[in-house]
Amino acid sequence: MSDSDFLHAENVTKLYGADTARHEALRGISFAAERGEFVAIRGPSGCGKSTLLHILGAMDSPTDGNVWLNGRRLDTLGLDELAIVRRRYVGFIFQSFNLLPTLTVQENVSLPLLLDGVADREASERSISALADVGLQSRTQHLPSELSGGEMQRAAIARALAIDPDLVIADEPTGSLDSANGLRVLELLANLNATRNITVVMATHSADAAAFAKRVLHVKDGQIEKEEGADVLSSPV
Amino acid sequence: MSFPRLFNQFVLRALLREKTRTTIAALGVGLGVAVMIAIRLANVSVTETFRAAVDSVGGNTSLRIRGAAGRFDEQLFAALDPIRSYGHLSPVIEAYAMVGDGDFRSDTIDGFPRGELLHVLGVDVLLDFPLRDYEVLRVGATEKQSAREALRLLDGSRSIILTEKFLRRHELRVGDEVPLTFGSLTQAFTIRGVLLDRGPAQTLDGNFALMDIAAAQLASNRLGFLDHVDVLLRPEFSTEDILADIQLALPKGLVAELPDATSGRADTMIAAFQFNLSALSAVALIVGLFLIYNAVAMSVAARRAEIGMLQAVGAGRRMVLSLFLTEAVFMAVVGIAVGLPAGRLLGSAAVTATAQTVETFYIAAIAESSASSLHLTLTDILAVVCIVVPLALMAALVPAWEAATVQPVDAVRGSGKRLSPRALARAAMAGLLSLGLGWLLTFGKPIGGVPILGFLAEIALMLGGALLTPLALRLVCAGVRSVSHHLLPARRTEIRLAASNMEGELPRLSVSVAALGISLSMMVAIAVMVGSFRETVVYWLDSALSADLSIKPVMQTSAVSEARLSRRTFDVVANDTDVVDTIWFGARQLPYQNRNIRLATTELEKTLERARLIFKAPPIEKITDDSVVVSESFSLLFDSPAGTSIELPTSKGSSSFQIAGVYYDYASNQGTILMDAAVFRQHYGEKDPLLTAQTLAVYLRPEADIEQVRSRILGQLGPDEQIYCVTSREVRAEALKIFESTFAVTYALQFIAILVAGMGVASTLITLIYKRQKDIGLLSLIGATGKQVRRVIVIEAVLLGGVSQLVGIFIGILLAMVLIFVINVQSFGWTIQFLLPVQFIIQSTLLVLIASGLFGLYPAIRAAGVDALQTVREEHA
Repeated sequence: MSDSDFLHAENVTKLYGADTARHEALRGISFAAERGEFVAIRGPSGCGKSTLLHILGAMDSPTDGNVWLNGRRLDTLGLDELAIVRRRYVGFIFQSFNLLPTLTVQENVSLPLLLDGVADREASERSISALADVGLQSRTQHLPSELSGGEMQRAAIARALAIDPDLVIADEPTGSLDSANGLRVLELLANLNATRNITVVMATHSADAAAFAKRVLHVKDGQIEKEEGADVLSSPV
Repeated sequence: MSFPRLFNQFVLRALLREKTRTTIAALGVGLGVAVMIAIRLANVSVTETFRAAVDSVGGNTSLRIRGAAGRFDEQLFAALDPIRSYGHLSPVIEAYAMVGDGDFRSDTIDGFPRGELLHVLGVDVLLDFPLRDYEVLRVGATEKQSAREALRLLDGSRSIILTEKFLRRHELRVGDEVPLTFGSLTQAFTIRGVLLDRGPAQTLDGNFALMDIAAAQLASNRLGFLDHVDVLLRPEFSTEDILADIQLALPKGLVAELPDATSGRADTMIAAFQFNLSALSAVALIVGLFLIYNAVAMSVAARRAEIGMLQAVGAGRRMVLSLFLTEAVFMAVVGIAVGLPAGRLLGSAAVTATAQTVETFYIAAIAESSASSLHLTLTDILAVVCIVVPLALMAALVPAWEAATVQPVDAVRGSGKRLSPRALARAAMAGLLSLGLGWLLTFGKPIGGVPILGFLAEIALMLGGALLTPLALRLVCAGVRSVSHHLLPARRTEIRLAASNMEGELPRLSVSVAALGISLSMMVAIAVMVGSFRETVVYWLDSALSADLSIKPVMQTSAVSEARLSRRTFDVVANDTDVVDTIWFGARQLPYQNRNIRLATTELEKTLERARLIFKAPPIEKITDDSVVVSESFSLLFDSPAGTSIELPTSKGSSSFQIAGVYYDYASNQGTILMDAAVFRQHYGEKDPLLTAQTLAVYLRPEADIEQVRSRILGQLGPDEQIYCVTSREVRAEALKIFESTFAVTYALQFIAILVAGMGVASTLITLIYKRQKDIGLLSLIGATGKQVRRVIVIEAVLLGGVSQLVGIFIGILLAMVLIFVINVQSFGWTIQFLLPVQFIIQSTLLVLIASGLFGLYPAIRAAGVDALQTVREEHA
């Protein structure tokens, strides 16, 4: 691990099931990203890209291998410690938006802050600011079911931003959106990465989405097949 | 695919896989069934045993002739000659005696003497043998004895024939002596023969004795009187045809009736007993309905995806609906299988417990003996199936319909649709209308003596409360959200999340909370009623107990109310130097308008001056020769307010009496008429009314030492006089003890209500957790620790229990008001002062909150164990 590595995975293995039903989702993957980097992980369904993303985002633990986030070793942490890491340092964006249906948009966005003990007023200010950043300042009191797909994903991005994260994990963030909304979301991510120096790791099928990243890892059968640097990537659409 | 195969794959396997869910549902239904079957067994058993006891003593009697005013002069028997042309007559004395020579005064439970009770029949054996099926054996003889031989066995005033069962139980033999207490006098009787276990010998599980009529009259202090004359009609006469003719031929003061009229009147004596139990039964029904609803809702919530898949592969709505309804029936059947044996045990326990509480000693003994012989019949099982299975189908219909009509888009968009304000307002309006209807129904009169409209009012009020539940739930959730930072600042986020979750599930939760609320409302209603009743009785006791000492025979309970004090007792008390005054009370059962009432005798003017009766209205005026005062229950039961006249049966025919006043009396709900001794003597032909005295109130000089006087009186009377000599304080304590035990069964109801609330909370939450797995997983993904997730669920549990208790208190108070002001008044004729048991409400609320929190722990642990990644993995599935 070099000193400049902000996110580092070393020889990570992930096994599911046991005995004959055992499935090796990751096979000794090593990966590193610097602070402020935008990395895309590409590969076919079932190749292990989401599993890698979950381990990097402190959502899951590897069966073997080590993971560091900003110098903190993740693979030795307990469930509650991982939860604290997630709510303080990691923002998530998923394909299905994953907003709590019973909370308003603003309540959804401020939830990770409140869970971390941030005062009501500060949580409110930060959530409104995050919603403004994604253009949803007029939808703060709506329920998720009252938003369009694009708006829901932007609300999910606002929730990820509100905690002022070091790392944003985006798993197929445009998978449920039309191309216009998808483009808007990717631009938002690229903009955040550029202006706030937030590290973004994004799993995607789409070459167009991957083009927003500075580096692309191709994963196949639980291993990194190849890596493309920014210099070989084409310009975003 | 065939339905059975689909049922096996889709329902049975899931039930086996989800053992906790299945167990909670089956146990819940089983609990409901157990309570229901226990109540049914207890009610049927007590009623039937009582009837059987009366019937077996009745034998082949076709008609019974009794005094219109109860017991009658034996000289009237000679005047029954015209009746002999219709059939065979047998004069009877029926009495009760306590077995044993122990000191009953020190052997009491809840004020009842615990000596064994013996039903004594005094007959002229020669006359009675054709009527009753006796089989008497004599020592050394194995063949059946003739009536003449039996008569020879019963010569002498201390001869007695006992049953085979009784002798075996007490290891007694023919020739042995057995001590028996009639009234306050204990005497030894010689066993002269054995009755085989058939006919009257089966009464009270063998606690039956046969005596010669003269000996029975002497022993029970009824010399010169008969209780009734039993008639066996000749075969050519039909009872129904001949009844009117016989009535016309009877001398004045006697009436003829069918033998089961006695048991009919006695049925009213067990009304209170069955009323208490029926209340439990009603709760059981609600419990059953709610738990089945919850179980099926849980099942639907857990298997939304499977339902969608089934529909996708071609299963129609009817198939899905049938599957879930069959699941409900399956759970009901498992519940019945669990509940039936449990109900049998519970029934036995309930009868034994409540036997201590029934108002009559006689029935208590029967109930106790019946508890051991309770058994389930095919009819019982069919009745349970016929009630529970349709209820299960009814309860499952809503969630099963939801399953059959599920739209895939709902699953994608989430369940965040809140109940619209319009729907809330509509439900609240319907609730208010239902409450209004309930209020109107309280003005209805009883129908056939039963407060049917009162019960309908209760149902309308429950429905009203249930319809107001969504509004209550919304208001509480909104309130809790807005004050969460004041309540528990450190837990405000979890509180808000819990409240939001509940608001998001308002339609589903409203049903659960309403059902739990109704279950808890029963607890509150009974507590308010019992609490109010208790306070009223305490106030009444404090006012009414004016004497320093109260003396009564040990056998003097309300059922064996003919036990009397001996003349010697009066003399001993009157001659004590510290005694300044005494008031005696006598009472007898009087048939009146198809019921038995109490005709109490006393020196009325002295009683009114000394005994501090509390009058309802108006204050008593001058007592004349034809005036009586009546208890409130009499006044209400027979619609006879002060100032009106009543026609009472007397030994000289019917006489009219003016009601001079109505007083409060919580000692008996039978209805009591208080008559002056002189008036009683004039109308009922008692030569010395003092000999009918059962209670003696003793007033002492102010400086007298009560304990010394009591010791002196008891010492002078000696061990043969079995009397209680108690202070007012002890009477008060005894009365309250009886009161507490009367309502002991209601504590079981409270326990069941809280248990159900807890189980309901747990099953509701488990359902919600199934439904919200994705949200819970998400919560964990965005950083909620396991502890925080658990807290959210426990707070939801406490909120659920809290709102249910709130609804329960609201409905419960309304129900209690109807119970107190309508149903009790119409059923028992008692006015109870309404009092809110604030302490109970606070205590029960805390208990419900704690129970809900504890029952919420399991769902909370399950929630914290939800696989967070499942949420995101499903996206890629």
